[in-house]
Amino acid sequence: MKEFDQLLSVESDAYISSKEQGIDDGKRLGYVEGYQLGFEKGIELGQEIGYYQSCVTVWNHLVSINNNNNNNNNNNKNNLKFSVRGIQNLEKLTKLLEDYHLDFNDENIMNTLSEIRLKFKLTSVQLGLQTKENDELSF
Amino acid sequence: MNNKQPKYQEDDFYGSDEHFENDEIKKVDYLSNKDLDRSIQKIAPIGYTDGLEIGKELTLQRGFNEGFKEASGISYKWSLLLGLVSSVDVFFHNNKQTMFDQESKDTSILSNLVDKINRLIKEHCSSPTIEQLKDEFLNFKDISINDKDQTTTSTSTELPTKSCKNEESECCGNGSCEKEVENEKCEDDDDDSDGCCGGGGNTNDQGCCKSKNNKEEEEETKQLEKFQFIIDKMGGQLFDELSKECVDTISSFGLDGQKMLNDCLSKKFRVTIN
Repeated sequence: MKEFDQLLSVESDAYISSKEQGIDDGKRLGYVEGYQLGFEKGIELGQEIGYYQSCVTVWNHLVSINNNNNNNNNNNKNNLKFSVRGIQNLEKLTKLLEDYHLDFNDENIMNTLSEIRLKFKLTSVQLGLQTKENDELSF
Repeated sequence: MNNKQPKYQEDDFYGSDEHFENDEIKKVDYLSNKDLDRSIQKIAPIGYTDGLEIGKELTLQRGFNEGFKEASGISYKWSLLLGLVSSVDVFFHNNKQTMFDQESKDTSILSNLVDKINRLIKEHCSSPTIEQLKDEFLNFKDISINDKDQTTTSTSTELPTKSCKNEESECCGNGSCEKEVENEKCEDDDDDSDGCCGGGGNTNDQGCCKSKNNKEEEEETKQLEKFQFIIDKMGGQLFDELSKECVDTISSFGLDGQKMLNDCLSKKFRVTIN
């Protein structure tokens, strides 16, 4: 009878021991896999938002310069012409980017990102400043 | 002659008996060891696989959060330069005749700069290499308290249920069995609160909560140090040089490149991860 009890105990002990070892290795493996996936997604999203942010900043500078030139010089020969609708969309896009806050707890964060993407494309078309990197970066 | 015969029989008797017993013992040991090894070889992989799944679930989200936060900051900063130069390039490319009525200035310098930044982004914002992942794997430390609490509670919950069942069969509905059930509920509540600050008024819980906060702060500090190290390593030399080149190039086209760059860098990418 003792031999059979030992056999049952050995099986149970072997399972517990191997499970504990598996948990330790699983924690390491899970961390590494999660880190790699998070790194890739972070690269994509950070690159996208950074690109939008700097483009919008430059566009605002260009619109401001154009307005100053129009005020100082009434001659329309060398002045650029940005559409009114484009300028309005640029203001909205600027507001969206300023308010953008990536919070994993926020359920609407992806909707906001989609809205930014659409507004960016629309604004670039209306201002006549389509960026050739759109195809490369697949935004 | 009679004296000789008993000696011979006695020797023969003991010798044969010992020999037989030894053979039996060896045979039994050999068979039992073989069976045990076979059992262990069957059970160990099952336990290890179960453990792997449990361990992955505990740390996958944490790894994702740390990787995401680190990578998003790096790529955001580099991408600001890309957007800065690219938008200026597109502007001058689309408005050549308007801006430069008679003189024709070459805008290829902007295009070349865009290509250069793209190459650097691909170089510095690529996925972590196998060596980096190996370092992460080897240097991993189980800092979280919750993980340990979960592992301990999972093993301890088995015993009370057995004792409760045994008492049910013995007590036949007495009060002691209900007490056991209440104790189990209390333990479940502790599990829900992750074993920390569950009691509220208990000093142990407060101490546990304080130690948890301290460890979390330490973890954040380490993470910030690591992040700052990477930023300094990248931005201390190469990023600054590239920024200066971008400013000079944009300024050569009659724009205030430094102001544009400062405005771009002043915009922060806010990321909140719990």
